[in-house]
Amino acid sequence: MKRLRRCIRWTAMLLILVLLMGWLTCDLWRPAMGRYLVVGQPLQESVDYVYVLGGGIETRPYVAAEVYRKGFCDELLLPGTADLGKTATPLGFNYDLLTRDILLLREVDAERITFVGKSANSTRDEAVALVKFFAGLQRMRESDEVTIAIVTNDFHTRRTKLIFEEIRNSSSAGNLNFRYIAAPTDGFGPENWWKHEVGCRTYLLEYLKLLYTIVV
Amino acid sequence: MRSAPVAHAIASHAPSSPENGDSQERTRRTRGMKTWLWRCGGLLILFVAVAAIHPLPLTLMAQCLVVDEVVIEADAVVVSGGQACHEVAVEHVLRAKNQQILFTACLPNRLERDGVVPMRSETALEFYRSRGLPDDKLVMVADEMASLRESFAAIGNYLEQHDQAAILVCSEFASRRMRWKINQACSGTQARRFYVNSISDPLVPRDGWWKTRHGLRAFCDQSLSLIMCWLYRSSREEWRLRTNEEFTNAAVVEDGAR
Repeated sequence: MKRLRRCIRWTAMLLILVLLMGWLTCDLWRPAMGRYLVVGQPLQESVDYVYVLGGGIETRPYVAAEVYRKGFCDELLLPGTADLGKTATPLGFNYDLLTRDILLLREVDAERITFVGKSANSTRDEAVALVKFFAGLQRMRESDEVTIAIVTNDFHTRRTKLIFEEIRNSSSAGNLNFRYIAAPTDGFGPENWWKHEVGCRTYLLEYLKLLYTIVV
Repeated sequence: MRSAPVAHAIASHAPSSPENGDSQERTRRTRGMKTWLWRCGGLLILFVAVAAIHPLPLTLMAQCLVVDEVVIEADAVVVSGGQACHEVAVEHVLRAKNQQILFTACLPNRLERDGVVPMRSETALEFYRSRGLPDDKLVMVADEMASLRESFAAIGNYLEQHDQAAILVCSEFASRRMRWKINQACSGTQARRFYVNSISDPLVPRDGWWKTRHGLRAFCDQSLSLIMCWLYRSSREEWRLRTNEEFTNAAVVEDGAR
């Protein structure tokens, strides 16, 4: 009983100490936590393709269009199919179609946009669709090195990198080189995510998803 | 001369040297720590085993997210959710002849501002009309709302002014969060005018959410949202849209590669 009490006392003290240290150093670890998730960088040289991941509809297509407009790529790839409008509900939109509409609005030529495969529900599906798309193209040009810039939101880049490189390595598509572009999110970013309800939810959920990706 | 038991007691308590005493203390602490680790591990294994045999613990976890209130009498319907929630709201209004749908318009997001998609309130209005609801059943309470809390506050005011009560139709896993948001946004008398009516999602069943990735994602998302809703109960969202320059800076370093 004495030992139990001592153990509880020590645990409580340790917990209080950890919380206190966490509170005192929060200006250090919160931005660091945000920055850890971001591995994307702006492009410094041209790439062969830009692949815009689904979701983040208000930011990702805008950044992809900027890459095109500045002359850093000629071809844009989107997940999903050209069989558009089928999944849209009266109150919802088909996000593949919307992404294309935004790109067109931002002066991307329609013939420069290609859909790589069936609609994807996750980042992994999108990676698989991309690798399959290039596996189809490889028959035509087997030895070519292809550089693809993947556009996604800043907090999503680390998980995207993990998944895309895993899929590439497991499917022997070694000639695909990936670059990652971090599209900024409206309202919050790695430096202030904890100040917003949505930002906090987004970053913590992303950590859960990252953990799930690593473990499973 | 000491008697034998006393001598034994002294021998067992008095360390022969300081080093020996320290090591004994360390051993005792390590053993205590190990015991606690075993206990925690045991509890975790027990939880997993119970969850594997019977889904009750996981169902109870989902139950924490759900509120479904008995509607006594309602004059209006408010929707917070997707297609299925709007369908249910229309059914409510068509069934009860004297009910109206109350809604608010939000500040335009980038896509609405750029004209890529119509305003959400317009899309909703069009949908209700297509389902046969006349315009006198559709009441816009306020516009340019920046957040859900502001919307609930505006609707709460409207309900109080008109001495009405409303059913809030939302998805099952979001229902407790919606109740909290209402309680945060409205005064006590206004909040009591809402009845939360949660709609179950066949893709995320309460008694099987852990079986699919979609269900897992929905559960984690809604649980975190609920926690954040409580943590940020008194904060005001200040939303700033990114500029084109920020998009360019994020995309490329210099101009004119082509």
